[in-house]
Amino acid sequence: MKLRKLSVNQFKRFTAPTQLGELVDGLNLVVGPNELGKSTLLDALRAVLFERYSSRAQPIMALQNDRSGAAPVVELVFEVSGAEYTLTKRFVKSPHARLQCPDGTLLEADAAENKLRNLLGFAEAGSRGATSETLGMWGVLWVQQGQSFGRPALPDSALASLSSGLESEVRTVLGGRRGRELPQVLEQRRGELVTTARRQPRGEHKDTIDRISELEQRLSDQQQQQQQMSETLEQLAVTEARLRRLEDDSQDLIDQEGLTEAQGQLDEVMRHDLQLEAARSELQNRQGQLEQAQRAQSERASRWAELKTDQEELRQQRERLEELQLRERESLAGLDELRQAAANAEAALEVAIQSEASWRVIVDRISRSAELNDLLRRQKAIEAAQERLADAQHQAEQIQVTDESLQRIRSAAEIADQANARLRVAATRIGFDIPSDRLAGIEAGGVPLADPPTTVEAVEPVVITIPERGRILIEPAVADHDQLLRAEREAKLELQAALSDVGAQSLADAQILRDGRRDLEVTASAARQELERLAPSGEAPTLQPRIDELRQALEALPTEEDTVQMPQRDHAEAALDSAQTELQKARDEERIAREAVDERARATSGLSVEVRTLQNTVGSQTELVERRDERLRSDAEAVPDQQLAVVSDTAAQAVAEQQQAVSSLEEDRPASARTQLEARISRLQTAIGQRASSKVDLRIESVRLRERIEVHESAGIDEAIEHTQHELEQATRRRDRFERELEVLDLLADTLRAAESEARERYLAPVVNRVHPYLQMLFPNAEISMDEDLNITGMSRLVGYEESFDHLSMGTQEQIAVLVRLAFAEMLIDRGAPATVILDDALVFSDDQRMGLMFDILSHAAQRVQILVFTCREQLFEGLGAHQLQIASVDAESLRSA
Amino acid sequence: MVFRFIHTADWQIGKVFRFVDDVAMGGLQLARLEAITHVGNLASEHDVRHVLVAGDVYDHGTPSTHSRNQVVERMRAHTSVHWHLLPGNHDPYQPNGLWDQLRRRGLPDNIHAHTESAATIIEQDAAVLLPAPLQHRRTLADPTAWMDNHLSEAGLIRIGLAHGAVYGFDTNEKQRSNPIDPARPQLARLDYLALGDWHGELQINERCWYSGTPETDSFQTRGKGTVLLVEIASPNELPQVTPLSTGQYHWESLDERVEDLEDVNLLDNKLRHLNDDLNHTLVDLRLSGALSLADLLHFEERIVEGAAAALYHLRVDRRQLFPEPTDDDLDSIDPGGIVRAAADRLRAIVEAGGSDTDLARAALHRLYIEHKKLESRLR
Repeated sequence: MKLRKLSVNQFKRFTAPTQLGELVDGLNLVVGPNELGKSTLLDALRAVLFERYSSRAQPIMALQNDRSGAAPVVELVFEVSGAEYTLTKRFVKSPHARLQCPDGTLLEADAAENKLRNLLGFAEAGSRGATSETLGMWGVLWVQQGQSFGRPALPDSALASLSSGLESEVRTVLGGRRGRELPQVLEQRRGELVTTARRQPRGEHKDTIDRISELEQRLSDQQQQQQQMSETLEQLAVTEARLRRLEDDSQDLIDQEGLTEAQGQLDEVMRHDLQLEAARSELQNRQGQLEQAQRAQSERASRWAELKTDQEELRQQRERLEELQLRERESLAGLDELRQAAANAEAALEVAIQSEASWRVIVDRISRSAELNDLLRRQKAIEAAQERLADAQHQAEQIQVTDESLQRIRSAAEIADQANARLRVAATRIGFDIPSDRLAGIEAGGVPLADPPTTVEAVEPVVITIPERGRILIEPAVADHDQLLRAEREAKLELQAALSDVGAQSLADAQILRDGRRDLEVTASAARQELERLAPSGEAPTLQPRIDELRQALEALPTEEDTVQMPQRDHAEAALDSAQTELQKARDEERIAREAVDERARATSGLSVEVRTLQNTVGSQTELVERRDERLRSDAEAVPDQQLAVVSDTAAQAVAEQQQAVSSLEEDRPASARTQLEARISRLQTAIGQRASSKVDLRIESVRLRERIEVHESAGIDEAIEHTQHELEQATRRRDRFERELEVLDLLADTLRAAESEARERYLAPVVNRVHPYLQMLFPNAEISMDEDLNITGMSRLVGYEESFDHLSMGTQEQIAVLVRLAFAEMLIDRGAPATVILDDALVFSDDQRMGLMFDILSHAAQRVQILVFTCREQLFEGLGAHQLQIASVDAESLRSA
Repeated sequence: MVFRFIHTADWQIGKVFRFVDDVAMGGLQLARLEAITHVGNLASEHDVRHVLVAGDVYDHGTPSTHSRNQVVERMRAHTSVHWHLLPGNHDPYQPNGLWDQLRRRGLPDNIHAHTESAATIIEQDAAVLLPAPLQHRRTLADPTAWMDNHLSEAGLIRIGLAHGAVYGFDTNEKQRSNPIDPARPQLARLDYLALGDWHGELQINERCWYSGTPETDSFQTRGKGTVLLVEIASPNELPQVTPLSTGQYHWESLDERVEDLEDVNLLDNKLRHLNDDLNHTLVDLRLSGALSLADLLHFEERIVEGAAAALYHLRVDRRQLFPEPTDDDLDSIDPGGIVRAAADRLRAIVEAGGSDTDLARAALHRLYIEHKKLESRLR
């Protein structure tokens, strides 16, 4: 179909007949400001083609002009396959439809509507007016203001009309209603079995699985119970077997018999043991009696022996006493003799003492006199030495020359000699060679020349006087004459001074003086040594007192001696020695005598004590022995020794007899040991007792086990297990069925999805191919993707990266939507049903560059497709190069309103 | 005078049938109890004073109190009959176990639990009963061996009562325990050896029989349960053995191959004419073959939903029955469109025959079913 001319009257804002025309095959442009009525014209186009003329639907009623309220009239001239039709419709009031066909027929009312639908391929509008579904492809291609952007929503009708050749493919994709419902049904069923999100079992499926685990648990519990039951039965069987064995009393009887026998044997053993014990006790008793008898016998014998010994001892003591008494008497006699001898010795001693003393006085007197004489001699010698010493010291002090002063003089003399020598060396020698006989009177320097005159040494002018002849003055020319002279003079002065200090005339004189002094000093020293020898370290002053003392002592000595001629010293001393020897001898004798007395006195005293002691002992001992003798004799009189022997023999006999009795009893002892019998008895008693208590325990255990069995029995565990297994098997089968079903459903869903995906690609190919060239013009290298409803879902400008259509910019969305519509229109041409694309204020979001590209695309498409563009942007769309349509008033009968 | 008794075994009261639901199980369990009453009635009918139960009275060593008592009460009701019970491998004698428990709680005078290998004179010195109770689930020794050495008075009919597997009768490893020498009647001079353990009625030799269970309890045992009426005129005479039917339920086992709609219809017909008491019939149906999805749907409707309702229980083993999607199946899903595309993909997996084959087959089947459901809803 191609539009040629559209006229309206009383249609919305158009209250007067108005016409839009004349449309050409390619691009048609309607330019006008807002409110011009561009969209109203599009409404008119839609109404005349797709609305039923008789419709009272609200959108139809809204076509009226609000003020006039007249019937809207629309007339459209269009071409189909080159033939021109004129369609006129009046709505609301006196509605009518009229279609003037190219063959001249005029169809009215519904016939016109039917023809129109057949021609253009759309559905009859419903009671609420035309919808996108009834419009089919036209609704897609005719985009009203505000609808141009966004993806074209393709109703089924539009899809169907896109291509009859696509019919099967459309079905392929959709599979009809069944095709769409089947996956839903399967998905729904799947949703009953598992959750959509995590594919967890749910509903009956989950219940079954839960049931299985519940049953498995129950089964396990029951099997455990069964096991317990079986174990309990076994335990009970064992318990009862033991109990039966115990309840069979034969062992008890055997044990009891053994017990009785053992007890009998034990009694016998015990009885025998008692007899043996009694016999042993009797034996012990008799042995005691025997020991007693033997003890009495031996005691008697020992008493006799002891008495005899005591008597002998007493006799010996008496003898000893007598002997001691004799010795005492003898000792006393000896003592008196000794005392007399001692007195004699004492007298002799007295005489010796007297003699010795007299001789000692004499000797003393002689020795003191000798000492006195000696001291007096020493005193004289000391006094002489002291005199010599003082004399020498005095003389020495007179001589002033000392070694030091002598040294000084010598050095002065040397210096003077040296000065003189130097002077002489410097002096002018005046030689005289005059025979000695002619020398008389000749003087040199006032000094007659000595014979043989040799030489005179002149330092100072010398006058040589030659008698009779006169005088010769010689003035020596000495270089340092004065100095030499002065030195010589000073040296002489010094020598003179040194000599005068010591009163010497010359050096030789000084030396002599000094030698004399030395001799004196030697003499003094000898005197001192003498003194030292006589009175060492100054003893001399003490001599006198001693002398005085001795004189006094001598005067004090007994005078009687004075009368007697004093014997010689040697004689006196010899007499004294002899007297002293005598005295020592007398003393020794006196001491010996005295000691002998003392010794004898002590011995005598000891003997006396011994005698007294022994006398006492003998006295008491005698008494004791006599008493004991008396007692023993009385005892022997009462029980004679003979009788004691008889008793002892009898006791020994009794012991022997009893030992015999014990031995025979020991030999007769029973074989079984008592401990062994006791152990057997204890063992048997324990065994019997334990069997009894075990029986009780086993009975209790048996009852307990029986009770437990009854509990298990009432549960009927085997049968219960069978039932549980039955249920479990059924539930497991059910679960397996569910799982198998799930597998089937999954496979089906996957297969359907794969089939669908493949079909879609195949189906979309023509559309995509058609869009592709246009898309490349606008977006080089871009691809778009579509769903099976031909909705654009996205665009990929980069390989592998697809942008969702909704996320593209408004401008891009709009441009793509236009391109897709152009593609659809071209597809319709291919199907022999060309359609007009209408764009009402489209591309409002496009920038200048894109706008230019879009104009190119529209121009290109317009070569095959009729395009009608409404715009309010005159200047912008000038570049489109479209045929510009005019909206003009028109006067036509056919547009008459009602 | 002819000595007459009923030989039965393997009541297995308290048995749980794992493969059926609780409701069906209730019926089967009740039938086992009712069999006791039935035996009691038969005894009265045939003037029999002794019923010999050759082991496995109970299914477990520890049945529920209710199970335990139900058995006793059923027998007690038949006061003129003496019930001789023998512990079998399912309910072996264990000291203080089930049997002692029964005794402890007091057994009626007409019930005799033979828990020891000891002879009992029965029927006024006419016969001696030699029981061989089991003490364990499995014994390696022949429990009847002791009978050889047992001497009884001349003129007494000797009857052995035992539970186990006769030598060489079954080579199954599990059956090797509790072995019984089939020559025991000769060795022990028995007039009759009443055996239990084998659930089907079976004659081993002229003096040795398995009575089978009175109420069949597995698909391995065909037909309904029986007991044996045994009549012995005098010692050494051959016994006269007459099987008497007691069972309520038929247990059938079918192996069927189905390839198409016709097969399904034939199977349906076969099931519905198995016998004239479908309400008491259990069928174990093992299927093989391959069905198109459409035929499979038909199979589900006719057999799994239809015929099964006519039977007491239908167990279907379809592990060897494969859904074989045809082009028609796929076209019926959708001639085109993604669902068809998916179906094609699944069929490709099936045809590839990899490890996912079964799953893909199931998915395809499911797709088909769901599509059909959707279709019918839309329609």
